[in-house]
Amino acid sequence: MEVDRRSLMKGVLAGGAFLALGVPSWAFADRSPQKSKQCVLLLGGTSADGLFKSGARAACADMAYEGLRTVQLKEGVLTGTDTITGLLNQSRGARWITVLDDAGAVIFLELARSVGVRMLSMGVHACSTDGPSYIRHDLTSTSQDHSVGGLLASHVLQQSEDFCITEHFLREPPAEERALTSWGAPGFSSHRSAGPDPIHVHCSGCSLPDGRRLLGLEATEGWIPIPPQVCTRESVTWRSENWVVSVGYAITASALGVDTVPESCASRAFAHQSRNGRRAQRAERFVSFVMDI
Amino acid sequence: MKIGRMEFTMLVSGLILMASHTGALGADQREVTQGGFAWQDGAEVYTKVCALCHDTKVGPILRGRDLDPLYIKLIVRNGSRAMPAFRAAEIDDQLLEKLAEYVSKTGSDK
Amino acid sequence: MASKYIALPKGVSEKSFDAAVKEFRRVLGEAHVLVKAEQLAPYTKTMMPVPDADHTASAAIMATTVEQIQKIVGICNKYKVPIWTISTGKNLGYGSAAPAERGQVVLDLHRMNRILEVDGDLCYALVEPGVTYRQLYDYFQEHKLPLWLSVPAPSAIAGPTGNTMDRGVGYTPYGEHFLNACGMEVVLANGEILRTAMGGLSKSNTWQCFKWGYGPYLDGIFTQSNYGIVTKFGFWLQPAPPVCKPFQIQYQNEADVEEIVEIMRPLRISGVIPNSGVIAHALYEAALKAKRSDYVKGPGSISDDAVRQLVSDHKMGIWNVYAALYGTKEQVDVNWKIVTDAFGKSGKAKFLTEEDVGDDPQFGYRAVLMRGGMDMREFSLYNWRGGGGSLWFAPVSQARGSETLKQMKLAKQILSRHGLDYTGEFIVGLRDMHHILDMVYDRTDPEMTKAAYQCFDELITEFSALGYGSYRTNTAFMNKVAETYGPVQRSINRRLKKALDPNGILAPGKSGIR
Repeated sequence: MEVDRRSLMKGVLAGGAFLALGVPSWAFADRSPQKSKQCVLLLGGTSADGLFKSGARAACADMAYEGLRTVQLKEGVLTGTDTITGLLNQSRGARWITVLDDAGAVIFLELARSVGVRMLSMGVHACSTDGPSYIRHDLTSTSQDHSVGGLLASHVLQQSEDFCITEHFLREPPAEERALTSWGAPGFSSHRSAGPDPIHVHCSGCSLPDGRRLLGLEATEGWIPIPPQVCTRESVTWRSENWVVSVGYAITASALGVDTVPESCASRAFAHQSRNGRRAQRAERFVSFVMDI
Repeated sequence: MKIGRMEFTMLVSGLILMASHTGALGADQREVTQGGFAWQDGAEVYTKVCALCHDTKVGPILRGRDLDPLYIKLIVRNGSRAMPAFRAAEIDDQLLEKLAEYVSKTGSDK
Repeated sequence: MASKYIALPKGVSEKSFDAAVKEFRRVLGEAHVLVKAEQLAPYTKTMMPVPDADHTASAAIMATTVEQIQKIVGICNKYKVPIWTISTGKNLGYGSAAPAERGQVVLDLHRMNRILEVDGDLCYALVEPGVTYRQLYDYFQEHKLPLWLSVPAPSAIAGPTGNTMDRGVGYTPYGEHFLNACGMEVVLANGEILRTAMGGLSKSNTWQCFKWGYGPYLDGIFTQSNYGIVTKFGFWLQPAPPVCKPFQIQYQNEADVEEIVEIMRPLRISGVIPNSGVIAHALYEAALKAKRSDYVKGPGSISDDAVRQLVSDHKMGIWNVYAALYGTKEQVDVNWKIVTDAFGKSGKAKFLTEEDVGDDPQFGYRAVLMRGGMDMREFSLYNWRGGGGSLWFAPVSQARGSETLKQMKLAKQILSRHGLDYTGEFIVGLRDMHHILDMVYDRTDPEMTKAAYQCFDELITEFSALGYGSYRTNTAFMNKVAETYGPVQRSINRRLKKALDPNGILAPGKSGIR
C-alpha cells in the first residue's frame, strides 16, 4: 500500500458534502520527522519478547537505524526493581521501549515516575482465550507526534484476526495546528464524534454501532462521517503474519520517529471484524512503553 | 516457666470455647444486662466501696463503733480530708439511709 | 478545548492557572513544575474502571521543603487551585498517584525524602514523606541497626508516610501501621505548621515516644482525609527478634475457613500469634504458579472445579493460612507447639515451614513480608486476569468464623454475575477481620471494564447493607463509601473541612470530603 499525500488530498476533497457543511477542510499538519535518540529495547521476560523483538528489528531496518540496544531482564520486574532503577539511572538521555507483563508494567511505571521519565506512549496488548475473541490494543499517547494506533492498524489489518485498537491522546494538537486531519485506509469507514474532545472511529467489516460497541464507546449522538481517504505515511512496506511482531514493528517505528498521520481528535479507535476472523489459539498479553529517560 | 503440654492444650481450647460463646454488641446494640445498675442494699455498698479503704487501714475502721447515722451520711456526702464526697448519683438518699444504718449497727469483723 | 495544559482544575481559567504555574515555578524552580503531557503521563495511569481522563492531573509539582509547601498552599489559596498530595504515590489499585478529580495539581513529595532520625534504643524513626521503605531498609542494613519495618505489599517502592496516611497495613507484629504511628508535622491550609501531641513543646524529646500529648488527639484526623499536608512522620519500629518462624497451613475446602478463623482469633488476641493471620484463597496466589488461560476457556468467572484442579496441580491449599512466630528460640518452640496443637486438632490442616518448601514463591514472598522485607511478588496477582485492572474491596467484619463463608458466598455471587473471579483473602487482625478482594479485570476489554465498575458498586452496596463497611477505597468510589458511614460522619467531616481549609484547596474529594 503506497499512496502519496496528493491522493489523500483527493480523497479529502471528495468529501464535498462535508465541506458544504462548513466544516474546515481536512489536511495534514506539516511535521518534520523526529530525530531518533539512542534507543534501548528492554524485554521483561514475557512470552512475547522474541516476536516483539523481531518486529522491532524490522522497523529499525526499514528506518535505517542501527543503534538499537536490547536488554533482556533476567529476573522479572517484581523481583528486580533494583536492577531496573539502576538501568533507568544509567540511561539518561536514551529512549526506551519496554515490553513487560501486566504486573511488571504496574511496578515499572512507578519506578519510571520516580526518576522523572517522559512518557511518549503506553500500550496494553491482549489476545486471550478466556476473554473477547478479538485482539485488543489499548494505547495512550502523550501527543499525536508519538501516536502508534494508525500504523499498528495498518499492520495488523494484514493478518486474519479481528482487532480493536483504542488510542487516547493526553494532549490535543495546539490550536494553530488544528486543521482537521484523519487517518484512513481502504475498507475502513471513519466517523468523528461531535462536541468537545472529539473521537475518531474507524471501522472495517462492521457498522459504526457495532464498532462502537466493541470499542466500549458510549452511544453518543451526532457522529459525522469522515470522507474516505488513504494515508501514505503509514504505509505497510513490511508484513508479518503475527500480530505481536506487528506491535513490535509499529511501536519501534513510532519510537524512532516514523512519520505518522496526525488526527485532530482527543482519542481514536479502530475496529476490524473479518467475515471469517478466527479466534486466536494462543493467549498472549503484554504492556509496552516508549519513554525518554 | 515450664508448662506442660496438657495445660497448653486446655488453655487454647478453653479460649476457643469461651470465644465461641461470647455475644457482642453489634449494630443492633444487644444489652448484656437487663436495665441499668442498682445497689442491692447497704451491705453491698459497704463491701464494694467503703470497705476498700475502711477495712484496709487506708481510712479509719467504721463498723462496731456505733457511729451516729447522721454523722455517717454527712461525711459520705461531703467527704472528709482525703476521703472523696459521694454524690446522690452514685448512692442515692434512700440507699445512703440503709448504708448509714448498716455501718452504724454492724459490728467489726475483728 | 485545546489548551497548553492537558487538563485544568475545575472552575479555574487557563489565565488564572498560568499565573499559579508561574508562581509555583518561582517557588520550586522550572524543573520541578511539570505540565507537559510526557511528564504527566506517569501520574495519569490508574487501574480503575473509569477513563484515566477523569483523573488526569493539570500539573505535578515537586516540593522538597516545608517552607516551599507553605508557599504552595498560599498560591493555591490565592488562585483556588486544588492540590492532591502524594508521598510516593504507590496506592496501586486504590487510584495510584492520580488525583481524585481531573485537573487537580499533584503535589509530589517523593523527593522530600530525608530520614530525619532513627533511634535504635527507643526503636522509632522520624521521616519525611518521600522516604521509601527501601531507603529505611538499606539505612538499617548499612548502619547495622537490628530494627524491622512493617511493609505493605508494594514494600520497596512505597513509604511509611503515605501508607499510614491511608491506614494501610503490613504483615509483621507492627502491621497495623497507624497503631504504631507516633507524632506528625502537618502544614495546614493556612500555612501554619502543626506538630501533634508532644511535638508542641519546643524542647520535648518525646514526640516519637508518647502518642497522646495533651488535649484532643489530632493525628487521626490527618489520615484518610484532606485537612493538612503531613511533612514529617514518626513511627515505631520492631526490634529484630532473634528468631522468626513463618509458617503456612493449607486447608482443602472452602468451608474450612470458619474453623481457621475460630482457631486463629484466640491465638491472635492472646498474642501467641503476634502478626496478622492471613487466610488467602488459592486464586489470590494462583498467578504466582499458574496461568488463568490454562484453566478457563471463554469468558466468565473460573469454576470451582477448575480451582480444585489448579490447587491440586500446584500443591496449594484452597485456603493458605500464613502467620509467623517471633522471639527467642524457646518462645518460638513453645508457641509453635500451641499453634500446631490448635490447628492440628481437626486433622484438616497441613503445616509447612521454610524447611519444607524450598524456594516456593508462594511461601517465599509471604515469609519476606512477615519479616518486613522487600518483596513485590504479590503483584503477580495482576497477571491473573491481565489487562491492568485492579480494585481493592476491603470490608471489615468481626473476627469470627461465622463471618467468613457468608461474605465469601455473597462476594462470589456478585463477582460471578459480572464474570469476575474471587481473588480474596481474610486477614485476622485482633478483634476485626479484613476481607480483602482484589477485583482484577481486563481494562482492554470495554465490556469487562463496565462490568467491573458495576460489580464494585454492587459489592459496596450489598456489603454495607449488611453492616460490612470498607476500611479504604479507590478514588472513583470514595463518595459512595463515605455515604455508607451515614450523614452525621459526612457532616462533621465537612464542617472540619470548612474550618481547616475554607477554600477547599487540599485534595478535595478525598474520602468523599470537600
